[in-house]
Amino acid sequence: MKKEIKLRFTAQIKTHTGVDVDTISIDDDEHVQVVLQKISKRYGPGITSTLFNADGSYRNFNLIAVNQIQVNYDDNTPLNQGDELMLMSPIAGG
Amino acid sequence: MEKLTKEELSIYEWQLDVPGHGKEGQERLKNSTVLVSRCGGLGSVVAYELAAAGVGTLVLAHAGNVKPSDLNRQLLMTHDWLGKPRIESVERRLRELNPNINIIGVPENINEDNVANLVGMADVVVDGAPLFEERFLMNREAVRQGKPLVDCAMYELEAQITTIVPGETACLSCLYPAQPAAWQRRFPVFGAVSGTVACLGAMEAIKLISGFGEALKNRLLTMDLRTMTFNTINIQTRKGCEICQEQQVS
Ligand SMILES: [Zn+2]
Repeated sequence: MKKEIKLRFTAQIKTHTGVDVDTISIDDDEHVQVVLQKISKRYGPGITSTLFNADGSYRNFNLIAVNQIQVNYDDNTPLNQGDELMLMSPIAGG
Repeated sequence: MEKLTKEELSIYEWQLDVPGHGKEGQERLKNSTVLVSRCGGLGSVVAYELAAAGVGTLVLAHAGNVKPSDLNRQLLMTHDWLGKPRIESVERRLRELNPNINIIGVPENINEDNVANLVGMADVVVDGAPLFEERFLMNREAVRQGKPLVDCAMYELEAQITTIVPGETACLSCLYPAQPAAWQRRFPVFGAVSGTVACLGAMEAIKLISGFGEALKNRLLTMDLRTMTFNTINIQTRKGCEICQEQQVS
């Protein structure tokens, strides 16, 4: 069974993806970490270097929210059909 | 605690009637100190609103001289002050608005040498600084000293705000454990975006001091003014956050 996950990107993440919303399809046994890997593949090097180090480990400077609740990458939170994953990078003032 | 004068009672008449605020809340504002880190697009409007609301003492940290490119959003800077110290423009405009408050202008941005002293002077901190080093430094110090920190940020037509109450809420490092690798120092933004989130930040500071309403504790309010989409993300203390751990130990 495939699950459709809604994606929402903000601020600088959005400048890398070129879109602010999208959807992605994952298998039943795939969770948050797979979605991030798929995002990296779909949108190219800008987003990849925002999300991952050269060795493929996760770069811990983004905020991930599922259905508007913060989650940790390491927890690899399970996702359900129709869930929304929001990816935010920190922004500042000025 | 210093009481309100007759003049102050008339100046703040319209807000004295706000449920939960009243004379007692206004006296708390009068006797409070707020530190605003940088008076740029965000901090200018934060300081302006707090001065208008009658916060007794404003400590304002902002280095540098006024540049033409400040003027689209740094609303305390004026054309006649181009090339002259920003902090002087800030002080002058705030005194025009409210001559009854104390304004402590610091011609420096937040750094390792001044942060402990400046945070120590404040009851509440509002951060609108553009550099992550400044923001994470402020976060560390505010958590260390147990001072509430209203963290405001913007990018293009988007903005974020949360209120950090040490010991009670997630801190900035809980949200963003590492500093971003790349950040453009100059980014696209309108003054109306910084002004929007700045007014929200000022309101958070007023509520914290006066003691009414619900602050954005463990909530990150995000907004996209391009589509007028507002979201509230539930955030939480991150296990292993060095900043929060340090506070628990001490
Ligand atoms: Zn923390």
